[in-house]
Amino acid sequence: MKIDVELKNVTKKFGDVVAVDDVSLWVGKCEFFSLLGPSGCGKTTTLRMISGFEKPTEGEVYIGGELMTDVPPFKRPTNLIFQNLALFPHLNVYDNISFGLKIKKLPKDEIQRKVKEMLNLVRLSGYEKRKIKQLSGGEQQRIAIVRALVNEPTVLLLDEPLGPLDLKLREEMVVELKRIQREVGTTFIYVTHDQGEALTMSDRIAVMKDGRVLQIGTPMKIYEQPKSRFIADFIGRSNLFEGSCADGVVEVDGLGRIIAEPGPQTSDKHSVLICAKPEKISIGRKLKGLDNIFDGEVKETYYQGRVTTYRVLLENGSLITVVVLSSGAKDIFKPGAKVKVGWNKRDVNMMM
Amino acid sequence: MKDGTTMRERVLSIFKKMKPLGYYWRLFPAVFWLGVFLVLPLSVMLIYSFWTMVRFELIPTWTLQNYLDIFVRAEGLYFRLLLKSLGMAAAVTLGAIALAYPAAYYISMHGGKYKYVLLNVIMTPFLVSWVVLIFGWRLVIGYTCLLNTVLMGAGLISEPMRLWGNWITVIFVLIFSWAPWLVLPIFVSLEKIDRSLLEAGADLGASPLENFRKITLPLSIPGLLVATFFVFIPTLGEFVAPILAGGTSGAMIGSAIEATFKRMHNWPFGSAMSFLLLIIALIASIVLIRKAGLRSLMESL
Repeated sequence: MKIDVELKNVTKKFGDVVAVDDVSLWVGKCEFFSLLGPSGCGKTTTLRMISGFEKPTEGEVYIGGELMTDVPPFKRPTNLIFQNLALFPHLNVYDNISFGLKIKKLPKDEIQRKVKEMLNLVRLSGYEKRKIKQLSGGEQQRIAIVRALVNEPTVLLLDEPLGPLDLKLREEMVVELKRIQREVGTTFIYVTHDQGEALTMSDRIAVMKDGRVLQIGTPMKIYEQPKSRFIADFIGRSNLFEGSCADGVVEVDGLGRIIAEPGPQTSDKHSVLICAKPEKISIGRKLKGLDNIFDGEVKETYYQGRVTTYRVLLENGSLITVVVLSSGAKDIFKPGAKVKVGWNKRDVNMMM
Repeated sequence: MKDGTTMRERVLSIFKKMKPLGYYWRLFPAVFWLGVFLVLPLSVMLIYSFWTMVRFELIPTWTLQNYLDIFVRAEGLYFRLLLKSLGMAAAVTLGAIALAYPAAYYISMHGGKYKYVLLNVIMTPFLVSWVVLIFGWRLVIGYTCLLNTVLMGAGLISEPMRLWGNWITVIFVLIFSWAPWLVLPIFVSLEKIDRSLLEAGADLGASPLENFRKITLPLSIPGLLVATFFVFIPTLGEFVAPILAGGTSGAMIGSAIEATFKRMHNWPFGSAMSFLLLIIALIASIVLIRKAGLRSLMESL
């Protein structure tokens, strides 16, 4: 795979505060890559170092194979979509989109053709003369995207551009963004704190925390096989059990044995963390044919329409979350019901 | 009983109608102030402008002759003075903006934590009376004063230059006294520019200069219009600077009005000139307010 962006041991300090701490990653051509993490994890700073608005304290930034660490933003082959969109309020839609092309001094008919093409891409044909103020949130969003895309950047950088939109519009824009990326085939680097957005759109995700990259992988890998307690908790809710492991059997205090898939090193006893996703756990009055079955008592029941979420108290006092598809009123367990919960060994993930 | 309730209802309804009146009373101080100190004297002046003055006596004639006189009296001298004043006011406005814009730009973009300290420093000239400042300048560029003395001492010129006492001096003095004022509205309009717009410009390939031309300057136009409003209109009627620093060539329509009232004692003619000036100022204000918007004007004050 051809590499479009590469960060090598990049560190950024603001005074004494380390915003980005020794980050190395690469993004392939035409990839949809997400930087995911809670606020203050350094994801935006990382993006701003790729776009050139921040200079790394240490390390190197390569874009399209060239060293870009000291190149100012206006000379980089990247375009950034800002969190607040930063559309020019004194210009209309056409002048906003053609801003970059006019600076490159492209011939007028070519500019017109490209702007038209772009407006078609985001289904806003005929909006050329509109003022920015007259556009809805979603429309402004799209204009901001094509204002960047029209310059045919090597990499398009997106800094939580869906933040200010309401939920329904966000969901629409997530689909829209993915479609646009597929159609234009540009590399996208997307910064977000919303795991749903990241999982839906990304080819690969880098999970960040406290300025460090914790794990890079496909959405499925990140979700199913989180490498640390933080990721397991941050991406989808997880039920975590601490125990000591030997030969694929984990001894958990007060609960008994949990059978898990044997990891790479199995001979010595060592402490591990077991992560079971809520939707992988079965719940019922009687359970059969599962590798691990435990007794529990339903403490809380949340009927959420499509799914029902239970909080179940196990014998060791830990409260686990179980999510099942809703299947009618008579099958719902009320708080206080004695139940069994269980899962197969291949459905859980073991962390060191 | 029935009658009594209706009486009570009537009284109540009157009180209900009175309540809005109570709100209007809050406007009283402002209305009183404007009425007594602005509308009243101006009305008297408007009436005078249609009268005639013969041998120091006002005669209520109701004539438009005074207004016609502005264009014809003394072979159009007054009209030419008016045009010259418009030109000088425009020059002062441009000069003061040219001086204030870089300062406001620097403070807003690079002031950092010293922004408001710098703004206050810019305001220090207002601690000194304006007339004192003019005389201060006279001590620097007057005929036998500092600049000429130094230049002659250095042997660069053989006789003193006449820098004081002409129309250029008036423009110069007015530019210097207005410029600090203008830093404020321009600063306010620059502060309001979202800095991410400049980053967006840079991201789209604009160099810092292109960014200024295509984003900063157009977005600071409201500030420039407010600045124009502040300078152009008062300068149009200026008479102190022409008297103190202008000599004969520096006379403006304001000095002519002053002379007409005080030395020629032709109040009706002076009133007519004042009113023409007022109308020009009014038209200029309306144009500027419509361009800049009343809100941005008030926000800068």
